[in-house]
Amino acid sequence: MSNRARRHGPPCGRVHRRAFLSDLGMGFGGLALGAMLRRDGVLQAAAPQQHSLPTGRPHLPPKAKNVIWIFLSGGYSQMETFDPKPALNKYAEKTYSETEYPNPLEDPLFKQRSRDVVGGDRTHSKILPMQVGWSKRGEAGIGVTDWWPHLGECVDDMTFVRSMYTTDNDHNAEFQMHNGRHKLDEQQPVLGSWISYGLGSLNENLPEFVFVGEYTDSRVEQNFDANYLGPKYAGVTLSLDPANPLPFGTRPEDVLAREQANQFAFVDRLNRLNAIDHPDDEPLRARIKSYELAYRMQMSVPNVIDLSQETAETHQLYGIETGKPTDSYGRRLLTARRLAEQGVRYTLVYLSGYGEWDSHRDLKKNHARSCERVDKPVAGLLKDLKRRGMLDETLVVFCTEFGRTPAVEIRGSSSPATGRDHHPHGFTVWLAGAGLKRGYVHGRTDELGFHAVEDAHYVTDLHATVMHLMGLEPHRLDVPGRKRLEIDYGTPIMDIIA
Amino acid sequence: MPRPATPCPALRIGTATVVVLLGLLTVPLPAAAAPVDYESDIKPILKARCYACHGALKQEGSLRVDTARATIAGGDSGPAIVADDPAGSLLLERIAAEDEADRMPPEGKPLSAEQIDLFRRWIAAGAEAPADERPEEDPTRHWAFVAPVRPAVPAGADEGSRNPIDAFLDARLREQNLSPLPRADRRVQLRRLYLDLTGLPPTRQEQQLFLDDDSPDAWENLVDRLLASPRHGERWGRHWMDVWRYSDWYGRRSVPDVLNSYGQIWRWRDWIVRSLNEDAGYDRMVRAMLAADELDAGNDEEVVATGFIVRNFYRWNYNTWMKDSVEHTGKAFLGLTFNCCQCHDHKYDPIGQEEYFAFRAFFEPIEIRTDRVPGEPDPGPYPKYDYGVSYKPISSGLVRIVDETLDAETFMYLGGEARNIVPDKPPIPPAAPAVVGGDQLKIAPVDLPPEAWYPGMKAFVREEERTARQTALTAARGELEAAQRETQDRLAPLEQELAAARAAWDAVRPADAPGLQALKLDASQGRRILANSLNELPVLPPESELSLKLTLIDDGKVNFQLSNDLAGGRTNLYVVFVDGEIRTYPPQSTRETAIGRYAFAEGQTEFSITVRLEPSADRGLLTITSTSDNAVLVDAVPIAMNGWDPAADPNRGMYLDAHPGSIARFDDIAFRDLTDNSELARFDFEPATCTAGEDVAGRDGWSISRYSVAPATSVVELARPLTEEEQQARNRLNAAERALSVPRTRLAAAEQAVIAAEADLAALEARIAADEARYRHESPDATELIQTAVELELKANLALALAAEATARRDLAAAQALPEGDENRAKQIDAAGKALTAAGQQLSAARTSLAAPPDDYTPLSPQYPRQSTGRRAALARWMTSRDNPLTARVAVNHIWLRHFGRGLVDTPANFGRNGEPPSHPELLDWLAVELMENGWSMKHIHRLIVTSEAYRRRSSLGAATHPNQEIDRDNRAYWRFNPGRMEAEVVRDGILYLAGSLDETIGGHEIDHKEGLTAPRRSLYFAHHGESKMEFLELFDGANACDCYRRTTSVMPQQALALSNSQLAVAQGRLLAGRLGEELGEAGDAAAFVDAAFEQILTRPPTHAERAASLEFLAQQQGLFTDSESVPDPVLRARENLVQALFSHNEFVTIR
Repeated sequence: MSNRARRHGPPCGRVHRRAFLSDLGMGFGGLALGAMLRRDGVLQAAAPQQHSLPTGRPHLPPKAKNVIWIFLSGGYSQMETFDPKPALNKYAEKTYSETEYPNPLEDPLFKQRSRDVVGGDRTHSKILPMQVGWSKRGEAGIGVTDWWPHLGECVDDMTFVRSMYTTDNDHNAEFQMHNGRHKLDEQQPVLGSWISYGLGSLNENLPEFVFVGEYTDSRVEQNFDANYLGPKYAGVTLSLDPANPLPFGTRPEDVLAREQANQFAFVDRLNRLNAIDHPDDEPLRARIKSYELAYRMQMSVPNVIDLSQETAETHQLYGIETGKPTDSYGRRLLTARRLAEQGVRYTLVYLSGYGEWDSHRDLKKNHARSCERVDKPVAGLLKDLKRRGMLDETLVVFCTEFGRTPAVEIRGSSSPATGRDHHPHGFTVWLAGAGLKRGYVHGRTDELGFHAVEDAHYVTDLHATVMHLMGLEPHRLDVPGRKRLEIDYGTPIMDIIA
Repeated sequence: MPRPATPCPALRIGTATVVVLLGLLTVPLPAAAAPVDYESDIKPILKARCYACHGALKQEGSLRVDTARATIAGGDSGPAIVADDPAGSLLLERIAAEDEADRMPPEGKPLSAEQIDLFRRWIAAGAEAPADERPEEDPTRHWAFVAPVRPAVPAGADEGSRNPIDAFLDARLREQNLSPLPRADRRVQLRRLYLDLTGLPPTRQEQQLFLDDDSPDAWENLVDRLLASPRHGERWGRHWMDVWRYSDWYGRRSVPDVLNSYGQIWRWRDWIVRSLNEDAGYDRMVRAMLAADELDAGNDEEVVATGFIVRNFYRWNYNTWMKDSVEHTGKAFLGLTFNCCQCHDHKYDPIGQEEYFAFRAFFEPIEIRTDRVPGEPDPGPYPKYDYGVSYKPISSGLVRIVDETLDAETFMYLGGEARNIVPDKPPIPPAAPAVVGGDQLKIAPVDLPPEAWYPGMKAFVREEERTARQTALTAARGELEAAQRETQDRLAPLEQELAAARAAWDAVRPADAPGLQALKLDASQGRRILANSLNELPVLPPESELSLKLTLIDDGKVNFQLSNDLAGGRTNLYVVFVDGEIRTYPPQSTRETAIGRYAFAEGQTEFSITVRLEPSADRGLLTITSTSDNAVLVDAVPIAMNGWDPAADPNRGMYLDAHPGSIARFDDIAFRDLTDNSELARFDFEPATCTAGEDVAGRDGWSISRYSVAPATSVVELARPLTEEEQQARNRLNAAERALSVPRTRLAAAEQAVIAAEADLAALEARIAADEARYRHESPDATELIQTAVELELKANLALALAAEATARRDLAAAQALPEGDENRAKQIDAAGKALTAAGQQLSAARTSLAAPPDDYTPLSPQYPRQSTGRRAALARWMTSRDNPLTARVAVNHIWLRHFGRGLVDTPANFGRNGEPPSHPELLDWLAVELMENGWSMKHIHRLIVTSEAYRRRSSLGAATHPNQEIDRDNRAYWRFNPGRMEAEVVRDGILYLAGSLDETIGGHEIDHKEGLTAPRRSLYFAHHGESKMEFLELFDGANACDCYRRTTSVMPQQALALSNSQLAVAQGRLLAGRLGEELGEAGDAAAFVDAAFEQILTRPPTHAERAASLEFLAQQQGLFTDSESVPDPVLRARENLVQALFSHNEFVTIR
């Protein structure tokens, strides 16, 4: 499908998964592997009669092959990142009603869009001026704050959606950003799982949906939970620790490589012997296959995360340098590029600690520090993808769970008010790469950065856009017995598609 | 055709809409010329998109479209279609409408252009339909809504001896011309049964026992034995935990903060296992889970069953708790999809939206309740929701449901959002859906026994309370005797030494002069906050002044504050020196604001501070002078008083606070009346009240605030160095004072402790006596007994407070007597100082209540309403009545599903019209009635099922295909047994069991995920919840804790990795290899080992080919290590490899 495939080596790493399987002889005469996989899927879907597993072929002509979904946890401020609002400086220390604009709290949108999970009123006090300067960047002249010196160089390759909203004003919005559902509604598979389910991988030796990041809070796992699609479609946590990159993916210390290789071969032999007695047993065939894959996966993953294969210049581009604040995120993003290159469909890169951007106080200090960690590595990724020609088929999404209030947050009495509260009513995400307009801004918040007023999009519109670019029609992935609501499908943001 | 206004986006989330069936989208479009067939092209669309509002269930606008005839006849707007005239057909106009407000269907995606075209062409071609077309069946007559009647068992060849299940199944097989497969090999049957009934594979010994039993009822005997095994309850307990959504608490485990479910809910899990092992009866279990607190109120063993409802708890949103309770009570027990009706009338079943809220009303009065259990600490009362507060899980006692708001009303809301309550609509009374006869329930309040509404009445609570106090009394008496014995001879010499030391000091001491001593707060490590409640200070005169001297020794952050709430840490007036800046609160504010600077590095380290207090203006005028250079840093700047008022409230006063990294000296703190210049209060830390070298905590009204952090200190120090002679005398005096205060305070504390323990025990007995009189006997003596109990309790409280104070003083004395260099000294002084502060508050509270006694004494536990509403009891009784059409059917279907891998009804949580119809309706009904008529005994049904021929059939075709597959590929007729894969728990437990490692302890507190690979307990005892999963179980499709009416099965590479590389599989494989070797002993050559390993792990000997391959493998692996130093026993190592390989064998995880 692409130049890359031809450039980079054997076709077996490139052909589509299901096609790949059906091309591979396994020593069982007349066995239809398609049927075997269907059966496998049938068992998972638990509703055999009407449903068949997606074929793995896109429903629409795809524009993107891989997704790198970068998530910043805690909610970055739209005003201090990609949606600068000079009016905040003009009306600093004033209440909303003291500005020349309509009071956003009295706008019907305020109640319509958000739905509290937690009781307790959040106060909106006086407007906090922008905590950082900004300027228009790139040929497109898109306003970006000074905390993004490197990303500012890339705006002509980026597409901003400045009119996102979500409906939860607390941090369950993080999981909502991934699965599309408000906490009070039944949870759903996350976007990465749908894509893995719909398309499979381009490389059988690697998982289809990978999570790269570290977390101490187990709730983060909800961001790669396949829910009713089953664990096969859940994100696989890839650790950048070469000693143990994949869950159960390292042979025990005292086991020899040869010893284990023999053991795998022996299991394969026994299973094949067994298959002679059970020629009708399709799951058995699936298991034989999965053993081969397991072994190859265990062998190939350490290679993918081995960043020493990259040049010093590339390391520098991503800010990878021991001791630098950009080191760890640079590694995650370079790994993400390598995964995309190897055909992993969907890589979720967690580019923060849990809740890191949640700047209820000291926003200036906290955001400045967090931006510094992120700016160069992300810009490095975009530049690297571009120069490798990968930006044409890789889709990069950069997002968070919600924005932050234009007004200052008052919490407690003794400390000076220097932060912003959670804000589901308007925030900015950006995308870059395959199939998108470049250097483009879509949607708008009001002058104070409060409501998404023009081309407002709920989070599933972002999902729909990604699915659309990947060639998937979400309705066609429905699983019988599992009901999705109309809003779960979202609507692709066609305006940003080239 | 009316339609609701377009819902806003937020509303749409909660609004279920009709999902376009996948099949419709993939139906191949007929070629343009092909004629449109009503039955295959038109009717499916109507059914999927239109019937819900225009069919048997509802006839919006009087229109129904479930027959072509009715469609043509039309409704209020006239005919919906006109044959041959698409342009004149209203239906076509509406489905093709551009305007969303006119377009049908009103929800979901519009019909596609192709679908609309089908309608157009069908109408144009005359709108033909079969003449005998029948309308949809009356929804109230849906099979599942009509109570089951026991059908006659079909006649067959060998009447009488035959299992009725086989009679029903065979009839169908005959009908379809299907020939069933023969019985499976005995070993296959054996393994199937063991895994099915106990969740563990049979060991070689267990296999042999069965294989050697050639009696005709060997199978039946085995069934009975396994059903009687305690492992059966664990196995099926896990199944039912799936259905009943068992979950340990979760929310924010890393905080920790309980948001969902609740701590100690494992008692419900243990109740499930116990009840199944006792074959308690499905009906009894359902009733207990819904309403044990009403039906069996005094029985704590049973009330934990309400964990079923506790599990749905969601702290942040009560409506979610209600919603999940309705949805999952409906799905689990009734197979009804109530969740749809939160937003709208059910689209398929005759259940209205109002009936959803009526069902919710059963649960409306509930609240969580935590009770203590014998031998465990009191978990304390359940804490009510408070925004922003985190709640740790309780770790003792039990959790259960209680009806708390007896008059709770349920209001209907729209769009699934609780804020959209329908105005003016009266509350909806509790009822179950009318279509299944649930609308006529008799609900009567239940009177609860005293122990149920007042757990403090339970005998064990009284006994434990009594024992605790008796133990305390005995200990106190022992300590008093010891203290007396040990101090007896020591006091006199210590007193003499003190007198001598004092005399010596008096001889050399400098004359008392101001400025000899000052207070130093040293927070070079930790933080020290001193509080003083200024007890002597009167109501402030109109003009007064506060003055003090401050010296900064190490600059950091030092402040003084006036506070109206010392215990709560509130700040009213505030002056802080921080990194060169002086900050305060401006008048009427609590916003920290800079008002001046000081140059610490340039020598501005000593300050004179005055605040002229103007209570009438609620402000002070602050002046700060640097005394070293006389620079005025702050000049009469107004600052906030924020209503500070010290008068006669021990909780108001002053703080001195040194933050970490600061050292400061305070002196001459004085309040002065400016009208006559008299001093109102003064703290100069001079020898009259303070001893140099001692920490001021506990003296002169100074206490350590609870925000202090050890090891910071607040020591009184001398302003000028003493001469050596003075110093020696001073040291001697200090030492003598400390030495004497240790035994003295110990004696005092011991005496007071005995008094307190006696008083406390007496008060307890009085409280118990009063409880008995008023609550059990309703005796006329109660009033007097209550009075006595109140008095004795107050007395006891005072005595306890005095004892606490004496103990704190004792500890302080002991701490101060420690050598100066002792690293624990500061920490212990800090702790004792805080204890003294707390005791002071306790004492003051005890005195306050003594002055104004309360009407009643403290009960021995929380008290709850004396009645319960009886709502859930009524629901539970109805649900398990013989007339309920759903409960027994749903139950037997779940049981069947887990034996055969597939339910008779394929949608176990949906028996409604949109669910799958039963494959064998008569059998389902027969089993449902059989269950009900046999005391709802689940073991009875299990026995029936596993002794049927159908259950014992072969699953394997032994060939690639079978003629039956032409007729029934999916085996809906049960002509063979369905092979399956072990559930996640069985994989894990099976490995442990076969290796001989399984710890078979039943029940108890949930075990952390992290121990999943090492702790050898059965998997159901590990934490299971919605926040995260145990990775090993998750890979094998472990249950989703939030929704798992049936398991899924996947095959994925990570499973292979888990079986090859996990600590569990590797360690257990090695253990088993060693164990098998030992069992075989001398005779155990390689071939014997291979046989044994196959038997143990796969429940069968190897085939010839397998044996050959295995021997080859053993030799190969052995060869790898012949010269290895790290592996001393290559034979064993190779065998370990073999065992590990067999755990990875497809046959291990497969149930044939």
